[in-house]
Amino acid sequence: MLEQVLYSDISYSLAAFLSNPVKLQATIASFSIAILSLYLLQRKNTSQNAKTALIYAHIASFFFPFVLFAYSTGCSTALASCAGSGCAALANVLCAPNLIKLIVYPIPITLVLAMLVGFVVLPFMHSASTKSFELGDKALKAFTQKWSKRLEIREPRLYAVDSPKPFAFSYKSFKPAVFLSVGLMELLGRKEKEAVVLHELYHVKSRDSKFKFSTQVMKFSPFSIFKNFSQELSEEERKADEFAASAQRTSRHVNSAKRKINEFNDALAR
Amino acid sequence: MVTINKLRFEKKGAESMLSPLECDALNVLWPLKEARVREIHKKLKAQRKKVALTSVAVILDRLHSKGIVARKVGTGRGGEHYVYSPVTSREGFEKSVVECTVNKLIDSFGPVAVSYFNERFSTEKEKR
Repeated sequence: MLEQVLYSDISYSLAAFLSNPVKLQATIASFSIAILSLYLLQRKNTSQNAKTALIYAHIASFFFPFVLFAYSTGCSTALASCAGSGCAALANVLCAPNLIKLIVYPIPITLVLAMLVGFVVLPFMHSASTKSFELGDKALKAFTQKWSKRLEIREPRLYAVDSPKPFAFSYKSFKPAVFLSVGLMELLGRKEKEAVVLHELYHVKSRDSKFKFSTQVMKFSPFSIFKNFSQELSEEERKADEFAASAQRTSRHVNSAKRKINEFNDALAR
Repeated sequence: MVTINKLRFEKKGAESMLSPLECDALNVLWPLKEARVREIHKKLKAQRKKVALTSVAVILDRLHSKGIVARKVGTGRGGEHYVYSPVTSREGFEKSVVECTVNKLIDSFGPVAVSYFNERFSTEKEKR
């Protein structure tokens, strides 16, 4: 009985939703934008900033019809088809529109939370972590200051991460920051460290951390299977390496830094 | 406390539980009390041992995971680095290897191991 009520409730709600011309047009327009943004994401000559905007346009336009449908449905059919107070109470709780709301409403909330975590909480956690502390290398700080001015970017704060593994990363949130592990500081020579800093400054300048995070947000969409961002991400790494090499007028240091990092990871795996 | 997972009975002393490079690094570290990766690498190279700086860093990290060496972050020329120091002396380390091995034998074999040790120690005493 309840199963039939639930089924009829879904079909009734869907029919009511689609029979409303405004809602139908909004749904068609929204899905069209989602498909168009996916198509534009596939194009090679689209800039990185435009791709970031397209990712959010795709996600918003893909989920908008679902949220609109969930918002415009109610439990009236289930309640009307019910006989007896027990059935009415159960139908009120378990009615299909309520279940749809339960599934659909958390999606935009999760997206907003994910963005909040990615852009605000994670960068803050990295710098506030007990494993991170401000880098003491004054020469490297002066080097970063000099190149930040040249690149016309806000000077990022340099942090050391208490880890023997050689790695570096950066983000451009409210305050840009570059993180270098103690292992990296230990293994690399002066010029190699400068090459790593130049590589990270390029990422800060081109806001790669935001794009990288946005590619993860894209995974919320089922259409993400049609779009793989690995090519764009490796292209950004290549550009950052190229920038470091052109700034140092040689690719020797950036290559030897990469070789040492790979050597460490290989030795660790053995 | 040292953790032992494998003992090589064909080797003697610390080498029975450590790799040759781990032993080399420790042999450099014990007299120095504390040293940086680069210092240990330099000493090993002076001993004509062909080893990369990255391998020394990995080996010291492994010794740290095994609880054999301690490390702290130091700041100096060239920026941040790790300063490694042995947790115990060579004698202390060898004693803890014996302690751990005997404990493992008693845990695994119980009364059989205890009676064997009694028998063995009384024979040793008689010999002396």
